[in-house]
Amino acid sequence: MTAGPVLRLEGLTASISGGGEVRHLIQGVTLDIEPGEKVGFVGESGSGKSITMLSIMGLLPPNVAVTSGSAVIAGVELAGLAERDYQRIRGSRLAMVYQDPMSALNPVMRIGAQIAEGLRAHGAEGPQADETVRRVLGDVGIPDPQRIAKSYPHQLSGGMRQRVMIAMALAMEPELIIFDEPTTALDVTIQAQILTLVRELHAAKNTAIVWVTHDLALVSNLVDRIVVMYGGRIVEQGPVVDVLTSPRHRYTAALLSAFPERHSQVRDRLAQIPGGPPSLDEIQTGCPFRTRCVHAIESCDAMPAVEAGEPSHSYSCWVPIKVAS
Amino acid sequence: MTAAVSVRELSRTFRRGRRSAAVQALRGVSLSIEPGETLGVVGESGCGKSTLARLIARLDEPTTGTIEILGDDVTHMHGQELRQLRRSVQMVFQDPYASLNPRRRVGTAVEEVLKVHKLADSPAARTERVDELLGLVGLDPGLASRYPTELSGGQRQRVGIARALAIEPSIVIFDESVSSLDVSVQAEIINLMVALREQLDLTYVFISHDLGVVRHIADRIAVMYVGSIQELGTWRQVSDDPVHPYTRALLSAVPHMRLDDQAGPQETPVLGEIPNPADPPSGCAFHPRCPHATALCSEERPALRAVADRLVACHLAAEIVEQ
Repeated sequence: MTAGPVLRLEGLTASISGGGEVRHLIQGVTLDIEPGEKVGFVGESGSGKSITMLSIMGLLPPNVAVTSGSAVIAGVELAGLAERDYQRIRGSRLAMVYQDPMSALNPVMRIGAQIAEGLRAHGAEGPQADETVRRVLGDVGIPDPQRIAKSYPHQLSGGMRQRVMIAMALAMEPELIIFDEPTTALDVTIQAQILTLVRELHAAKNTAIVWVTHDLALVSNLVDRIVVMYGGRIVEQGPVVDVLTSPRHRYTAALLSAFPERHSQVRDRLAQIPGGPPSLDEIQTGCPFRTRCVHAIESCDAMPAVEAGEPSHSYSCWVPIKVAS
Repeated sequence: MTAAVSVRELSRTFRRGRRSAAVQALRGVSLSIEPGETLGVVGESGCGKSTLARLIARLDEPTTGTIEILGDDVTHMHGQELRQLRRSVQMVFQDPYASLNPRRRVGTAVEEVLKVHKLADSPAARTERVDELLGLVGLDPGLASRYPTELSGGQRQRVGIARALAIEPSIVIFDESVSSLDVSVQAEIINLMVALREQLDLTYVFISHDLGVVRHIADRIAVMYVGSIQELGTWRQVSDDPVHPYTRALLSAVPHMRLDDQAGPQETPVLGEIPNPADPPSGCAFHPRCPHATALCSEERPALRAVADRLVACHLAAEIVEQ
């Protein structure tokens, strides 16, 4: 199956159960990711971006489960997939690079052995696995892959460890790699190096990329499309420049204006979003942003439908920002 | 006019035992801050910015060099004198989760500061002052009976600021105080900091790795790398027209929001890793990563000199300005 999206999410909903109650953490997440596409998932704490990724990876915590909707990768339905079958998908079809490589890597295992372990689990033979390890370490710009393969994680810098994580993700040539805030813990000059690396790898291999971040500026330089999440919902999505220059959802616009402007010669008060992130109870029904939105009307108590704006730009808002025509 | 803060040739060396190498966290930093001024300090891991903050607050003692606060030499103060100094200099930390006792109510946490410094003599006066302080930082005094876990990250950082302001300091040091906050909350706290500075005539030292945020709040910016200042000038000079190759590298690594379809030529990021402060490069610490480096750069450490109306520690600064 080559045609069609790499990943298709349809009405994906994940919920937490406890104390006899079931509450949704993400609701109705619907999105297609095309082969070779680069998509940025943007949102603040509690927006549901990480829960969405963990739902796709089948790594949700025990009290959280996908309760409805579907996630299909390469023709395989992930919702409700048995763990044994999931293990075949993870790594080979779908890989993830985490924020903190130090907690994702085994501290007492050499780098090369860790990468080879995954390859062998998916059927690679000894010498073949070692060869792949050297090749992928070279691919991610690690000087002297032979030596690094024999190192332990603590002997490497944060930037090098993140390169190792990317090498691991690449090892089995998956169709999709999810990067979950992979540069948040890195210094800015090292972050720039990792961004350049991912850009080059994408140009060479054309693997589809999902990049999860809270940093709009960062992701805008990498991806084709931005997905904005808030309160467990996708509130707006579309081509990067469209979303950033003419946002339609009130939350996207508020978020954009809260950034300290990096070129401005006047330093006015920064725009604030009144109130704080919504509680779990507040996001169960209606538009999750309504309690902080200065434009909210009565209709906002019900969740707005997804409106298609310009081609491939969509949003869910009862009182969207009008585009100047 | 007496400077609010004046440090000269400040160095701090840490030793972790006889065998391990000494780490020179700070290597000869000199600067002064005028009353009412906000000095931004930016730099990456291991540049010494937090060590500098802790020394100015005298939470730590320098290995060599001097620190003057409002004209008084506080370099080696201890005991009662040091407690007195705390009345002038306060610090707000990065993590409001870690700096508040989770088992103590917010009001109690603020009141504690008043008790330690014997600032209000009756319980009633203290309660009144706590309400006033919470109001000052934009919190509903009703929150005094809540526990830190019941507050949002932004509210907790406001409590951190209220505690720092409780003893009416003239200098406040913010060490990455908005770094762990979401953008919408960060905007709110920055606005509060700016308003309090005007209202209370405060002098700020604002430490951050985020040049965008520092650019928004600072009058002058010091850029640090591996324990020393590389460039020091007004916020416009440093953030819009930098001279030092490291400042330029740092600036070009900061992502800008892409607002048109032309992604533009991707800037080549500066190569190499940040040096280990236990084993800094010879000469200029930036020379192994610097595109302009000459033989001199690896031999001699450049002094901080006046170039183009600001201070720059680079042998090639004059040539770079001419280009």
